[in-house]
Amino acid sequence: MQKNKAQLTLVALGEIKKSAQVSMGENYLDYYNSSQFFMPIEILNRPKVFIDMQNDVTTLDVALAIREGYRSIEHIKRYTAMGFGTDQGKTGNINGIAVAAEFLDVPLSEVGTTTFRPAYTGVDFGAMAGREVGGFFDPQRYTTIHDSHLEHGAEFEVVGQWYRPWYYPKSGENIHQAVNRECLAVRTSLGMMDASTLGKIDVQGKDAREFLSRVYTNAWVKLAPGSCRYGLMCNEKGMIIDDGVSTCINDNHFIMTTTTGGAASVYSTLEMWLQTEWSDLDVHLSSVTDQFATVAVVGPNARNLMKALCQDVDFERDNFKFMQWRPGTVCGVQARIMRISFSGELAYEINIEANYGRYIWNEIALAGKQWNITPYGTESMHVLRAEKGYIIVGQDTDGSMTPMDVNMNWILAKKKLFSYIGRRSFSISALNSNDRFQLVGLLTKDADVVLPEGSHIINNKGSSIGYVTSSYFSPILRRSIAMAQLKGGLSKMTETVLVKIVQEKQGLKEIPCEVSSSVFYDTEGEKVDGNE
Amino acid sequence: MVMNNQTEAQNNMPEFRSTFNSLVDEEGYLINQENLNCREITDKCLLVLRTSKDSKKNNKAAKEAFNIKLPDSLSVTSGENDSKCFWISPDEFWLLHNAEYKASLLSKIELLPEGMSMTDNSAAYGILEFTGLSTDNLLARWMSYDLSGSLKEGKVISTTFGQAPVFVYRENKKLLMMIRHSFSHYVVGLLKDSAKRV
Repeated sequence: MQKNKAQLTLVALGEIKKSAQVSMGENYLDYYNSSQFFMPIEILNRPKVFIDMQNDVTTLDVALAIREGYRSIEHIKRYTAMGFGTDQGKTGNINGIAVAAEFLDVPLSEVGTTTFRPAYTGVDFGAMAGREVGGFFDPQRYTTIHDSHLEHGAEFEVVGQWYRPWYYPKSGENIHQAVNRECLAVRTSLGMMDASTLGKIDVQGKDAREFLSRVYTNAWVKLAPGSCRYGLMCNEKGMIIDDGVSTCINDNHFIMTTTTGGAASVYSTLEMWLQTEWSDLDVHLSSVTDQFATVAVVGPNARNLMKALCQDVDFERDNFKFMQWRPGTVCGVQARIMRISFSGELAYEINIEANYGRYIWNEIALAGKQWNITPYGTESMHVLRAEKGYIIVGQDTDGSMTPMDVNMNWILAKKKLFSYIGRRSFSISALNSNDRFQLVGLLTKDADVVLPEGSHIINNKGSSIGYVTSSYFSPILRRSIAMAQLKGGLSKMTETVLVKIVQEKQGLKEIPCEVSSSVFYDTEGEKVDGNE
Repeated sequence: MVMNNQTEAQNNMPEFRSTFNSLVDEEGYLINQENLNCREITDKCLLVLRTSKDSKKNNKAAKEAFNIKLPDSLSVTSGENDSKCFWISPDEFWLLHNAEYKASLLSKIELLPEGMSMTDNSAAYGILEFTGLSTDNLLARWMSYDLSGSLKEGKVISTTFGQAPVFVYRENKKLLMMIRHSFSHYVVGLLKDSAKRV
């Protein structure tokens, strides 16, 4: 029986060499006009004729499958992996089936089809993208205080779909002037901030305390009702994934806070652990992010303001200590008041039912006038926390940072009965190397130069040895400050390193910086108690 | 917590304000057109009830504490004084009641046995009530769930409206949708966009 072109190729398989190719001749047109799918190699002048672009399957792969004895198209599919891509065979397999038919010398209909999965017909990109929906493309989440922010003329930034006030410019102010004004107000008198967007998870059950001990690196066994504690959360690899303050309502009830952007993923992660690994724990989680509005009042006059706003709580320093919370009535609304701080200043966070958020915000603004209370946004919050060396997960960490890398060994418990997520990985030698990227501070020799975030720190050969994670001009210190991940950084204190930046008009420049502690302001932590 | 719907300016009471407030018309409607009305209901409280693996114990506790039967999958049960209980997941039920009963309901947490818990989430969700023949048509544009074909009275479903997570149920020929307050502007934007095309 005479072999067709395809079968001849099958016979010759393995003998085809690139060097043996001949120029494309007029035969090409004959094939083009015929109903055949198989293009002989010598016609196309290509050693590889792809029929499935997603999985790089060629006609020769189909030929090879048949030579190996496969006849069913389902077997040929699996041998070659054609049709395994996202098109689920609807494009590549059509070619493959046709080519197989020619190799097998049977009608195409006799080869049959593989199992196609949706989409069954071609779908254009427009249909997948949907109609133009403008502002509805991505949800915009607002706090209950949003209207007040608009009235204050806030500029917004998007954080995990939330629209957070970024800064509140006064007439004629640019962002730098506004942020400097806001920061100085907080450091010298009083500021207020909408902190409602932080993720809040209600943790209840008789094993709630044990649960927190497993998901955070530090100890929670002895945290008394009425107290709060900062926690750092790692994944199994020992890398930091989130942080926040949790509050002990009673022995079976805690409120955990997460980062704004991390709320959903932390909630999912915790549920995953509860449902798959720790189903024996009596713990229930409920998202209460939207239930509470949170207003932070921050600055040396915060205690004075709270005394004016709330008469049923004793705000004296020794009776309401840092990292404690009290139930109270603020302007007629029941509240949980937490004395916690993300700026190093005396600060209280007032948590009320979200429906009263705008009311409380406006009442605070009114009562705080005598101390020139100043609303501040996320940009000032970043400056204030950077002055104190507080990290932002996702900015100063990048998913490959351990607590040791950010110089937070102090938060690693040593005596937990059950251990905690990530602890086992801390014994891996690579995670304890002194040559890892470590969080340090950088002080530019020229105090006015603010390093662009992301700039690389270079060695004397010009290679990168780290990068800047946070960088701001600190109005209280009247100089620029930066935090950076630097290889072996903790052993390089007071050394000078070079940071490569691009300056307008001047092009590439190497900026000398001194490696320092990442705590730039109030290094003894004296301001957190106020001025008394 | 204080719960009333008065404005603070009038009597120095704390202003209870929903995120939908700035989106309603003069008559208090989010949408008000032929065959289609949408308004917010604000006089409800919402409590999240989490249960143990022991369904007998759960049912007994729900009966004793709230005098309500825990519903089966995707269902809603009703209790006295217009209270409702929604099935959300195998170990999660939502109690919806008139706001005036909230303090009383919350005090029942003491009666719940080990393995059960309760959380107040009244301020987290807004409830929109839709009336009119065009309701299903209005919602179909942004909702993946087939309301007309599948949502009967006595059933509750969780789905998405645009990208916002929502819970939907029917009651007395009305359709009700529970939405996280932070998504209110987004959802109302979608509703108003859709209403123009109904």
